[in-house]
Amino acid sequence: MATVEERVKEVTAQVLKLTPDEIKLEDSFTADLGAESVQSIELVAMFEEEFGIEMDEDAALSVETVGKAIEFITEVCKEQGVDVEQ
Amino acid sequence: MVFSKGSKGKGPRLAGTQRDPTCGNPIMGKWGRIEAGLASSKLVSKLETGSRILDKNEFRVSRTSNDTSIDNLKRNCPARRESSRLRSPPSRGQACPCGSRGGFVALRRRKGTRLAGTQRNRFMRLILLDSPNPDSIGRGNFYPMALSHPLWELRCGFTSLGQKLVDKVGVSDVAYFVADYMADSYRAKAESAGSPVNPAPRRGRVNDSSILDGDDLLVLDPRVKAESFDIAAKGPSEVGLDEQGSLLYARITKDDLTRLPTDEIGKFITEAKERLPNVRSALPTWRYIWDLILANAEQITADFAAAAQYGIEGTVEQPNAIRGSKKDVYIAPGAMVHPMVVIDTEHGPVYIDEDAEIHPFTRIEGPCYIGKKTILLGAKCHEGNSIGPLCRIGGEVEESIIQGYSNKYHDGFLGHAYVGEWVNLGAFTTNSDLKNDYSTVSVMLDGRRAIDTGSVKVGSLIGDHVKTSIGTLFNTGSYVGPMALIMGTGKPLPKFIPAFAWFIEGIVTKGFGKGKLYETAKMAMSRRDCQWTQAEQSMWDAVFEMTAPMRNQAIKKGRRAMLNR
Repeated sequence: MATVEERVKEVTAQVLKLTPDEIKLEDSFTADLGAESVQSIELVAMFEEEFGIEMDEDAALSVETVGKAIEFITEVCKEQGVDVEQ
Repeated sequence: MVFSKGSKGKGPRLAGTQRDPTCGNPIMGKWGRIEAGLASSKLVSKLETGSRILDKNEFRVSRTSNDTSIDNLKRNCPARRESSRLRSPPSRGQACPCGSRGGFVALRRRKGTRLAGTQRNRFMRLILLDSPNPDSIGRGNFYPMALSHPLWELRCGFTSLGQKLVDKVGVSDVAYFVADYMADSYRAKAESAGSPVNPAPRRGRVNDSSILDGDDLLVLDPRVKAESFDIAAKGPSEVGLDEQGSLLYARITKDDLTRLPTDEIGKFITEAKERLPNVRSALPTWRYIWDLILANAEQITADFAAAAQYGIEGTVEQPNAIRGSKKDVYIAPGAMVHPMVVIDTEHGPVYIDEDAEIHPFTRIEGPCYIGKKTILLGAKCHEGNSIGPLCRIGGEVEESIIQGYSNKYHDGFLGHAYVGEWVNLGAFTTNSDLKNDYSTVSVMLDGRRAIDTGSVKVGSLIGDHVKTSIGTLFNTGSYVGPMALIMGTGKPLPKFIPAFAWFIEGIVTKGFGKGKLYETAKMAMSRRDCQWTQAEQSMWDAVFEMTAPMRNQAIKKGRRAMLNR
């Protein structure tokens, strides 16, 4: 199974029309990767689908970087009893 | 009165207005101010000689020896008002220096159909009873508005259904029972002074069972049509039920009240139905929210007759045109009609309420009601519109009800629609109200079951706090749940958009969540000096939960579409 990081990068690349190699942990979704507000909403939706979790919209959308998103999703998976590869 | 209201600063004063040097009134033509640059030479000549252009057959008439409107004259003449404050008033018959001969009589009362109950047939106390069960079929028929309003707050004609009932019943002691989740929110409106422009029908207590004790009582379902309510105030107790056995009204004497449990309204109604004589009532009722839209034009005409007044008490700047009978126009104090406005009363009356402002190039066709402090911005306002207080309306609007505090500032067509409060329709938002095949329009009020309205014209039903982007296109008979935020796609949208939906790129999403929607609502309300309260937020939290099943289903559908892109 791919790690959380790999899966997050894969989804991000798909939504923002990038390749996973272009995405770094410190990248900001908006400032560095060019995510517009609509794409941010799509990203949250796609992360939920990918990991089978429910995320609080306000908390999810306050995450700014890819690295923070990985931490946040890992935490939510843990809370909701979803097994993931670290 | 009248024209002087505008000159005292209620509305914007335009440069170049000719004013009488003595009393300060704008000098009028037939329809109000004569702007210096626009007056004809003939008119100017007459103005210069001090005579006034009056049309005795129409609005402003000179006082004659047999004119019985002396009280109105005295009350309305700004010169007299000013005189009474600063100097001795002109004597009766003495001409005001501006030529008005003691006043500008703009207002005439005429025989009208009074709605209020007569002294002989007056109920002691009234309870307006919204269904205590928020899931009841009756309330659902009035969604999306009924999600956030008691049914009596819905508007038809000039006023709300509740106001019509209270006026008809002719009672001053009113109490309200609403669904629990909206009790705190409604209490603020009903037990305090409330909003100055959109108040409860009367001040009264909300969901307070203690009022079930006491004098004779009338309990009334707000779906009952006020004009048809003909139950005598005096008589033995009786409970009027519709075909389904639902209570339409209950007249309960003081003596019988002592035999009923008064600790809880649900139990009270159940026991009343069991213990008191039941009668099968044929009182007509409002069945669906679109009934209000379809009846609106006729109701405006009836309300205008009941108001029993016509004429100008606000300011009308020239040039303007009235097409049809001027006796079918009333312009309330503080209202301001700019130049180049057409009011067409050929098919019905036009009532412009206090402090409304009608910008140039607006055309208003009657029957039409324009609410307090509403601004029309060059609108094509076709027949049958009721526009509540504090709206900003442009573009083309036809046979629609706009509850109040909502904006449709720009172009775009709105027809046969019901629009809630705090709605903002972006530029070029348009709804269809007629199908291409002219068949009857169906509406989904619950997102599952389409209901045939039986009408070939029904537009959109748009709940409170809905925001649409530029270019939003609503299909015929669309339902938009309250708090929905919509980004247009350039195509007609689905006919059912659930409450709190973020409709983005053609699908329903969770968007930024309800927190962001609340922030937007707070901002919108603060722009009109209204406050978002904790009670209101609690009500909306409950609506969010109530509407979650349909929203979640739509979100799932959206996810599938997103994954397949």
